Amino acid sequence: MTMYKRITAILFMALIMFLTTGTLGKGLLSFQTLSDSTNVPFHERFENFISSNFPFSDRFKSFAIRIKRVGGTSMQKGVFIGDDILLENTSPPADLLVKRNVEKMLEFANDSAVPVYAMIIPEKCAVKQQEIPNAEYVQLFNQKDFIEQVGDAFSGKISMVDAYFPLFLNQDKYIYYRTDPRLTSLGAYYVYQTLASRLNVRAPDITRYTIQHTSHDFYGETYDRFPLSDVEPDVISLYHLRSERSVKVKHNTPEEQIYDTLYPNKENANPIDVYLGGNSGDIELRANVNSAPNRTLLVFGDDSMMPILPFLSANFDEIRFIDLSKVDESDIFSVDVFYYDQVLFAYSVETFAHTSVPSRIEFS
Amino acid sequence: MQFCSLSFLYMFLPMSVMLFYAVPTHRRNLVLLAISLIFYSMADNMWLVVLLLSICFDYVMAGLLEDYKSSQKYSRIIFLIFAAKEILMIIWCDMMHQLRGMPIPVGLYVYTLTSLGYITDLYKGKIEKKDSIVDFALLCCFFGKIFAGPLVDGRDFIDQLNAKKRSLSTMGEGVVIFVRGFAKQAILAAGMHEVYEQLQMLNDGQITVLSVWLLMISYTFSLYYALSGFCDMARGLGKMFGLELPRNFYYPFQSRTVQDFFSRFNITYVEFLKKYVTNPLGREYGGFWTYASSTLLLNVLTGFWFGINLNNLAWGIYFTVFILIEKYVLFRWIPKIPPMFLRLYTFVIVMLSFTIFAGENLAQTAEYLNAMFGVGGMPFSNNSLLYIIAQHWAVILLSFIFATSITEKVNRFLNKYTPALSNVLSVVMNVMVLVTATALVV
Repeated sequence: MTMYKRITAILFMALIMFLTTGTLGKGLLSFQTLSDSTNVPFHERFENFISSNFPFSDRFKSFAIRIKRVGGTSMQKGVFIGDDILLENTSPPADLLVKRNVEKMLEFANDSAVPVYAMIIPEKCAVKQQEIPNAEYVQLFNQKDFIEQVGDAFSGKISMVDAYFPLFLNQDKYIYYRTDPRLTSLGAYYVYQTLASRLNVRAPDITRYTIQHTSHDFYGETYDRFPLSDVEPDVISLYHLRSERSVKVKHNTPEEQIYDTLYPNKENANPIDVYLGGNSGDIELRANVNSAPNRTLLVFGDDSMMPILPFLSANFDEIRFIDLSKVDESDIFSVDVFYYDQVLFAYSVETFAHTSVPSRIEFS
Repeated sequence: MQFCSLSFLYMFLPMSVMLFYAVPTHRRNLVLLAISLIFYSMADNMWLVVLLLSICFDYVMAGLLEDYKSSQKYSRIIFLIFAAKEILMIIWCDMMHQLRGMPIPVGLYVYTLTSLGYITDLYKGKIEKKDSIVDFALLCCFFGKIFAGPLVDGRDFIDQLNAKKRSLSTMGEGVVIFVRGFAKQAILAAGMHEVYEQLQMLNDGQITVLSVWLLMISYTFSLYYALSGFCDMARGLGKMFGLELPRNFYYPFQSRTVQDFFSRFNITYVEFLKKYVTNPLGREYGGFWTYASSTLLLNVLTGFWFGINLNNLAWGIYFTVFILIEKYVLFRWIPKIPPMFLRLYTFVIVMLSFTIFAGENLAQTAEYLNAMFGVGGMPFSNNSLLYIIAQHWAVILLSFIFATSITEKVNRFLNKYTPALSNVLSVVMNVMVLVTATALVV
């Protein structure tokens, strides 16, 4: 009996010492330091140091998810764990925020006298409901109803673009990343098709695009929280329109980056950074579409619009993309709305229902 | 820093154990005190000064009590000043917490009440001579028990500190208890808390009779496993450092009577109250009114362990009513009723009592009670509830199983008939539980 107690003590100490040494070793190798001069209390910095350097943390997390799944839990911390997909749940909207967002957009539409369109892109869990375990018992926030209600609130002053329907029609296809909440390029194409028809332009057929797969091992931000090895990595695909046109992408940032391709950072692991070189908050996209007269589009949107913008370059000579969460008020005022033929507001349900970003719009 | 944090488990604990055993035996208490103070500063550095001042003040009072032992008048005055300081400190912190949202200092109840017990014993002559400041400070703030107890007997604890009864097998025993406590916290308490949170998020149209029952069960179990997990971890840590701390929970949910429940739930605190508050009032030997009033006092003070407020006062009154009914009305029938029914009766009474704890006020408690009995035509069950049960069936089932002594009995049985298998299984299970619980906190 005593021998087993001793073995238990030795095993316990050996296990925790092994993990302690591993943590310290990893921490030292990563040159992470605790003597930070920030205002974060020491015990929090200490905890962060241990957590971020804990050995095998991905394996431990994966093991915890499996254990919980065995115990019946298919939804953890707001994420549904499907067989081969992680689906982020979206909570019901913050009514006051939504009301304010709608009011400010209507004010803008009334003042601008330019045709204004709005598109709210549904989140993965609304479109790929069939992937949610025991979906029939889950009380999901009805994003389709929400989008329709917002459309009704615009009462014809802003034309609503229905992004839900094309995605729902193609729900069995690879339209959302498995490990990330965002649309794939294919999903973006389907949304673009509907958007193009509402903006009175013609979307090229999908066969006119050359598809380039730049990465086969992309793991998105949801996977970082739920590193479940059952979920396959994602593929990042880029769609190149076979045409003679040339494009120029300009980021209106202090560094003022200019690219002559739609996908400047192909080697980047994050798809948002691949499209147009990343969301810097203020991007101008010029293409020699040779439309007569020149067609111009002003887009106020968020990250969810990034995979769609390259497609729009097939129809517009000039597109200006502004992410209101990333620019100052003075930048917003400096935008000459009358220069553009059409204005589009494009947000994900998450941004529109839970943030005040859309309400930052001001008419200049 | 919490017991269930990675920084504690995989940095602070191994370093502390190594340091403790690396120093000469006569320096170990000093090292243990330093470890305890470092731990406290990392758990709640805002109140470290208050803890140190409180310990110093109490130690000075103990010294004065010793000096004026021969004068009954002076020693009484000193004792009253000391007792008033302890009680007022608790009340003031609790009131500031309720009125201004000020956080309650970590371990406030534990170190003030431990000190109160020690100095009361000193005043009454049960402890002859005050101990060293290091021993006294360790008695008050040994890091293993600072979060939620158990409360310890001063004389017994300090005797152990100086007995130096430490071995690898005692450490092994400590590891088993510690891992059990860790698992209670990381698996059962956290799991049941998730169930509770999901049930709380149900909107009015989704609430059913069964969902409110499950809400109460999940609330009760998450609280129970959190507290009993803390106490098991404290006992385990105690053993690792050569200290035997008392058991604070003994399967309270298989109690046969409400009175029995109080002898199994937060045992050391209830014993403390009996020893220092109600027994001196003659609870055990007086008539009905003495017994009733001291039982009321005991139960109300037991409720106040969780905060001084109206709901906890009502909780104490509620239990007093049942204890009095059991003692004066049901006492003839209780021995004749099958134990299973008695356990069910106590379980229901206890669950209903937690509506008082869970409610933010008594009106909310009344709402819970109405819902639990289907008042207002509430449906019995629905899909939302079934979904939550399907999501958490394992943790709910495990919570019920580990609330009983079944596993302990199985372990005892195996130990008796196949001791080798039992020991090997125990080692393997403990490693598995440690890995699983760690995975859940990473």
